[in-house]
Amino acid sequence: MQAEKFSSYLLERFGIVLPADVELVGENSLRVMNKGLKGFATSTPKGIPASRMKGKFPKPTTAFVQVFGKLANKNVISVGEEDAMRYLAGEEFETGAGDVETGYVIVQHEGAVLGIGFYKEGRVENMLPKGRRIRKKN
Amino acid sequence: MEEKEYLSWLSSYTEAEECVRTQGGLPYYLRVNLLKAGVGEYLSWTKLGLEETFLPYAFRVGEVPEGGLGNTIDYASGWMHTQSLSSMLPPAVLSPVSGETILDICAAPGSKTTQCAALMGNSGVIVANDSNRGRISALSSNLERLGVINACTMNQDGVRFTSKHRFDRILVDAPCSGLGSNENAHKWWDEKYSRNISALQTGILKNAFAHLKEGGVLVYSTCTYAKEENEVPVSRLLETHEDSRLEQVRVVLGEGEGGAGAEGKGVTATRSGGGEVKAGVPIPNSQPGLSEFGNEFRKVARVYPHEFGSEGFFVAKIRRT
Repeated sequence: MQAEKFSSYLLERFGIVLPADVELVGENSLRVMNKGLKGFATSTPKGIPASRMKGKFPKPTTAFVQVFGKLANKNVISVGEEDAMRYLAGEEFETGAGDVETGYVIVQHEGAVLGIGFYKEGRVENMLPKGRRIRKKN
Repeated sequence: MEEKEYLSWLSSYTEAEECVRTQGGLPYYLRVNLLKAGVGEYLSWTKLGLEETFLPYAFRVGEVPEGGLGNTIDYASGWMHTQSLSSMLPPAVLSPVSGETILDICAAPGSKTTQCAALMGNSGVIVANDSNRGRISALSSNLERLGVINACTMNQDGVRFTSKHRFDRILVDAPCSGLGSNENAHKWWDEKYSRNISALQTGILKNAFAHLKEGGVLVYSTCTYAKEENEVPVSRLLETHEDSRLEQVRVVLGEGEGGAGAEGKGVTATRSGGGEVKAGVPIPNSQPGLSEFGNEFRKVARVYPHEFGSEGFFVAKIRRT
């Protein structure tokens, strides 16, 4: 059920339609995997984390959007190198994004998806996990 | 072991002084993550200065940026992975293709697992096992950063690993003394260490082979020079398993049939109807196995830093008949 809700959310929020050969599994925390893994019996998690519930909305993970974010056609913020480095260092940044709606956004730099942020009133709150951040040059 | 004694021991394998001197200053390499970007796409995007290698998706890094390669947009976005050129050899020899079932029995931290996933275009199945629970998190982290969605991790002892599944291809990148990858390893190493770990390596190799499908391919590799850790475990398998035979080590240039980022450099794997590699190239500037193990061991490859320009490695390809 959560997988269906998340798929609908991806379509509505980002215009993302997942490829037919991938599958979302799980309940509150979803994982995404190749369908070939589905019939493979293991007791361990398969694929990579796709989303976690944050309040009422599912929050796509960084790992997920770095793979499937390139399929998005809305609520994507493109940043230059300076803001890309700020984002990857865990900082917030301002943006003049015109057609971006309040909520989760995909942050990308020249075609490379960096991760997820939360856009509100011209600012992008950084949602990059601490373990994925880089050390910014001084 | 004292340096003088080590050089004397190493000189029975190669030009020891040249080997050790080169190993202290090896260049950095990176692998384009074909799951996220094609080679051409990456090259036109990155700001890093790169030089080609014989592998179309592997590059030597000219100048490492301030802060290191791990603090670049390239790394954080998962468009590339830092990995020695030698470490890319075992998956390139294994050459998994789309839809196959792969076991990487000593997988952490996952450089070779993620390379296999890229060669397979994220299709099929990879079981990434490692006996060290603490290293599973590093493995999972690399699977996530590089966008690998066709793998699951397992935490079993390689000697006792068990699965009801049989695999098309298996990678045994065995735990070893690391003399080829760590320039200081000889300081704590002695020949007794290699003799002792040889039993573990043989145990993992034999158990992995038991999980290989008939007709399947197993690649055994280490990053060390000692014959006890290289030719010896392989010869023990060949002696006890009539259905095992060595095949010539060759590297498939390209990302495999159906792989992502297929524009590559116009190079793709060539396979016959049965999914087997028709052609490949020998590892450049590599040496055959030690002659004392017989002519069959001319099919395995020994790689030395001063000849290859990257870490010392051993690679053997074994088929189950």
